[in-house]
Amino acid sequence: MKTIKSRKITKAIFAVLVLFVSALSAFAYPPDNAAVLYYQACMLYEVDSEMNGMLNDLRSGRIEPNEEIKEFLKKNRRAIDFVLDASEVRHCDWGVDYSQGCEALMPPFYKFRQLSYLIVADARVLAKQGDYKTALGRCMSLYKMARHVNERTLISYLVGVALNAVANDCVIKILSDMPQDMETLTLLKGQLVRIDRLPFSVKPALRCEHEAGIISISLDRITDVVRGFDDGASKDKILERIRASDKQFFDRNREYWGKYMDAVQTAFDLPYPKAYSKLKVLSEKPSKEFSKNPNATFAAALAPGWHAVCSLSIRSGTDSNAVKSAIEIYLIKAKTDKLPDALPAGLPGDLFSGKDFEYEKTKDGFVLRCQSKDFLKDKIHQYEFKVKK
Amino acid sequence: MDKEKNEKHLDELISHAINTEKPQFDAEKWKQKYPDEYQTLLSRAAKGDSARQPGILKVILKSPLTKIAAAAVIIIAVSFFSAHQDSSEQADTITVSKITKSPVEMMTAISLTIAYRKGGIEAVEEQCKQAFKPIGPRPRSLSIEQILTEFNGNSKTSERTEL
Amino acid sequence: MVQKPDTVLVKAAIDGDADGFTELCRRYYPAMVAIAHSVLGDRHLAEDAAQQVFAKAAVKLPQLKKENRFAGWLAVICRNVARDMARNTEKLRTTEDLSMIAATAETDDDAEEVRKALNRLSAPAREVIFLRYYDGMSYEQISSVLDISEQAINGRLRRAKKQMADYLRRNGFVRFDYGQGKK
Repeated sequence: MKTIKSRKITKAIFAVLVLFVSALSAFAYPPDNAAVLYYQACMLYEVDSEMNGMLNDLRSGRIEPNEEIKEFLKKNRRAIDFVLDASEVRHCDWGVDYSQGCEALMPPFYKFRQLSYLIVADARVLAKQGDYKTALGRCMSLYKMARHVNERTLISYLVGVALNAVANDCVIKILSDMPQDMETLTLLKGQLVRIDRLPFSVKPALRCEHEAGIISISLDRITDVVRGFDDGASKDKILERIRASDKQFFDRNREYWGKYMDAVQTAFDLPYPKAYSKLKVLSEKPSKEFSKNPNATFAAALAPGWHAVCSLSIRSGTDSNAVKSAIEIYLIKAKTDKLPDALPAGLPGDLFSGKDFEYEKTKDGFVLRCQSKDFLKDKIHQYEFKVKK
Repeated sequence: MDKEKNEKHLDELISHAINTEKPQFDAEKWKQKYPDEYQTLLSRAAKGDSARQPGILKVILKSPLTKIAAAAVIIIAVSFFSAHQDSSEQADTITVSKITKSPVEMMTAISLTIAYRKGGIEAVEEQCKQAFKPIGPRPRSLSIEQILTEFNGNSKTSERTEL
Repeated sequence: MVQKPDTVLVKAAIDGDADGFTELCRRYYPAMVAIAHSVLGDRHLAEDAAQQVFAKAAVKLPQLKKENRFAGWLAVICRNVARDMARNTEKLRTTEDLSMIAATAETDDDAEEVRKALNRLSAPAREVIFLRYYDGMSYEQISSVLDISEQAINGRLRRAKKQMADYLRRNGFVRFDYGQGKK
């Protein structure tokens, strides 16, 4: 009797547990796809150009947080929370149909940078209030968002690079404003190590462009691709060639595109100066051959400025390396109460030259300078870090 | 002092770039180019009284009989034009689609990449904004109650009445 | 000679006074060319658009409810005409031929870089820049054309110039450090 009763109780408890867990999963938040949350943030967030301009001024350090911005942050707390929650979800699937090639529909990129300015504003207000850890946490969310946005396509990579730059700038600003606190700096260093583990490379974008081009160079797809161009004369020429084409026209163009993209992908692996000059030549090659070589028709239409993509990619990596190096220098300052006289060994370096940054102490802090120039911008980048006294 | 110099330098750069030579309005050329519009302007002088007649809408709405007559004319006109629409509109649609991009076309990977090439991330954002414009702005407030009213007809109903 | 106020000229034009209307055209032609230029990116097209604006205004003027809103009303017509023209000519600010597709931020001459910087501005910001620099219009005059306060104009101009300066600096205008106070 007792055994039967205890079995019944066990079954009842088990049943309750099963129901409880099922109920939990039915109301589980966040969902297992970050894109769902980003889309909700996009839907909730509306900003007029005046306020967006003000947030941009705050982001670039032209103004300090003011009451209007704080009020605006309060009104948009839900959107901010959605972004922060989304950034914590590992998996992000935007639902892009890559089988559509170049015509794959993209997520609403215009909202992402607006949202990033909102998060930066939140971070800056928190920093102003002395809560540097939470402020830097916001920057980590931005880094993660940049990696989420970079799904596979070239355009999403470029948007991701822009968001990554916003995050870097915000970290630099907060580092310059905060006291050199060992605990916060060590925490930040650890967070950046974890960020580094999240993939953020141009390589998948190159592979995607290769594949997308192959898919799109076909009779049933290409007219839609060509319609995307604004230049009437070139478009007419391409359409004229398509009308006059034989069966092998598309095969030859796909072959040309495949070989072309192989050369581009190989060039990206070269050290920056060589990569840049090689990619510049490759960028211009299809358009130079366009008028005389029908096989280059679609490559001329599809190929972007690869040398520019290369420079942006190198710049993004160099910016991140500058931040990581700066943290090490701040840690030394926190330990010894003075800045090092020379750059410590073993720090991540300048990807433009492949060497260490040049380090120089200034009146307000220190500067890290690249040793080779960005050929796209024709300038040598430098990063200024202030030390709060 | 440097700030003023920089300000002046930027002013000079902008002035040089956008060709700020003041355009002069040539009235005679304009009259020749737009003779009909010019005549419309002049014809108002011939009316004597102020050309700003009370709006036709105000005239119609004064009398109930004219209101009904106007409504009948509108109904007939709409029916006529919607019947007539198919063939002519189709041609217009084909023409328009050749020139303007649809929201879908604006949001493809290739289209956004081209926008980036031309104007960087700002151009991408502008194009996305244009693509989403037809949807219109989100309603200022959309409460759960409103959503439930839409779905159930009565937000206060807590249980389904039909099974 | 004292200039007649706009309201007087507008009333006269509504009553069919051609001289009054052409005087209004002379006054506002540069502003309309500036607005159209900010949309179309081409001076000649902008002048065509401005003339079209006055053609429409000549017909629609009796519909204007308040004479003191003439400038703003004209600006609205101008934007619509310019946008229609842009759609029909497939030109919006700048065009690139196929040989330029692969190139991005090459080192062009100063004017080209500044035009690129202008193109990156939002439409309202660009409009204000064109009005200010095209016609040397005062804030008061711009305010009447755009129907916004002088403060808002100041804010837009300031932000637009900062944005342009940042872009120019990022693109290698090393001799130019707007707002930095450094060479």
